[in-house]
Amino acid sequence: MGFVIKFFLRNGIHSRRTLWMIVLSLIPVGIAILLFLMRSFLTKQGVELSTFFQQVSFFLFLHFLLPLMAVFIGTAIIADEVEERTLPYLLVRPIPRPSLVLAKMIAGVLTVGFFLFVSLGLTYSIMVIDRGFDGWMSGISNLLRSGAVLFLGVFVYIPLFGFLGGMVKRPVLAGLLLTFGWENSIAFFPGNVKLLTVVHYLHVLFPPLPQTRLIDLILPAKQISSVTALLILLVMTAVFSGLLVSLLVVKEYRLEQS
Amino acid sequence: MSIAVENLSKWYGQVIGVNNLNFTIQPGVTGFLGPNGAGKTTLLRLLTGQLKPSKGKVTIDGNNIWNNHRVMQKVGYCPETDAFWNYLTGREFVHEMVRMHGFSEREASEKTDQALSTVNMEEAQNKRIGGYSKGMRQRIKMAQAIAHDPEILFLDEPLNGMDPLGRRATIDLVKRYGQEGKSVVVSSHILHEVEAMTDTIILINHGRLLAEGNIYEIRRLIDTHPLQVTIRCDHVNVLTSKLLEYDDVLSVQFDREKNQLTVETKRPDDFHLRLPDIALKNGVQIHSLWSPDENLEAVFDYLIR
Repeated sequence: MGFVIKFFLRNGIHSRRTLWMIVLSLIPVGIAILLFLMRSFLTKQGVELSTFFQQVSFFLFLHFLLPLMAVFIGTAIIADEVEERTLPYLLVRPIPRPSLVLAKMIAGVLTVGFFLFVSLGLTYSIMVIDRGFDGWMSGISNLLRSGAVLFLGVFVYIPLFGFLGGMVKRPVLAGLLLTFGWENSIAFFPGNVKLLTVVHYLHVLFPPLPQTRLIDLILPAKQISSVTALLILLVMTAVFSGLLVSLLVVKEYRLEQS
Repeated sequence: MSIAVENLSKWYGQVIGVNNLNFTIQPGVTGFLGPNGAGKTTLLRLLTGQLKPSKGKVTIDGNNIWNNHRVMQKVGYCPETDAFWNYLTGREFVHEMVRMHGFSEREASEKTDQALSTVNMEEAQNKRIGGYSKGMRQRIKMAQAIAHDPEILFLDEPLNGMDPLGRRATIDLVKRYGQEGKSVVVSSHILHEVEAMTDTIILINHGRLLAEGNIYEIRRLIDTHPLQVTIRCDHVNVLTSKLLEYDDVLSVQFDREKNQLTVETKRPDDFHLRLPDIALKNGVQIHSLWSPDENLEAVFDYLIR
């Protein structure tokens, strides 16, 4: 299994999607640099740059980069091998189909997790650079917690989009619709409908944002405990992984003949 | 090892891929012969467990092949599709595929070396596959199929795009594997390619098994099938009149503008033997000669009729 994961990781590095991952990862870093260059102006306005990090990680990472990267990588889990017509080489090996899918899923999780973590770490470091090492260390628990929640999010989203990738003809479009049309809008709706989104449970686990009127309005008091949220996310991961695995076990792929 | 196909059918909605096939493949080389679109690739994908039969089953030594990864340890497959992870070098590609059979790094390296040497790809092994010629890609596909020393080898149109030397080497390799007691299944739409590798063939068309057995029987059928031969030459009138003297010539159509005539003969072998003599004796110079219907599709149509 380890060898197969390594093989897929290497494939991932050489795919065009990696370039997109790099570009996407640089967006928050670029914003952090911009804010850093504007810090004297921000200070005059009474805004402390380091306090921005929580908002940046919440809106930019949790609501934008995480699902977007997961869409790009997740939808390719099966679709890539089918489109590139390399699936036959894999299916005729003495490897159980579930292992093949899981190996590719884990490679996808590690890839997205890596890019998110590096980008998050760089963004944080730039934003607290003025506060020295002590300042950097003071926010480390929040950084690690944000990173862990993002990583958990990757574990849920990758199999979800992987399943979508094997089921629909335009998986990226479907993934983007699900991300920005459902997840990112329904999660802020009042009432219980947000319980039907993945990101709601990630909100519960994410480090709390500094209290403002807007935040109070869009993120009212938690309806469920952190433990419940964690359990629900784990169940979602298991269900979506099961669905993804079942695709390659039950469904067969009719490749185009050359 | 024997491969048994029982009542095997595969359909995609209303489209039939293969239809109620029954046969057994024994050690040695077996050729799947049929025109393009006959169902050969679908059949090979069923035999290698890539597709699930709609009806019936495929077993290798009694073990069902569908969703049975253990059987794959004994199987080698060279797909027809010209698809690769193009960033890999030829060596890396073969090595990675061998590793997937559970061999250690060292064992995989040894097996890779051996396979690359067998297909004569040692020199180009460290170049990226993306830069390979079609013939080299065919050979590297072949290498990944044989590297783990499988008992059963499925080769889908393995000679496609190969140069004459590569073809020769592949044909020799297939024959050698057959002589060693391995089961080798080769698919092709070109009769003489299959003929060069084996006597045992399975004829397929429109997903149905037309004939199974010795290739010479098929040859005999082909040889009695009226054949059209088009000849481009000078003195078209002279050649036409001479050819019409023979009773095996059913008709001759000629086109003076193109200096071309089309002959239909019921004994192609006799006709081909006789033609050079007629041309020499009557001072007719033949520029070109071809048989527009000498392809498997025409023969199959004839066999079905």
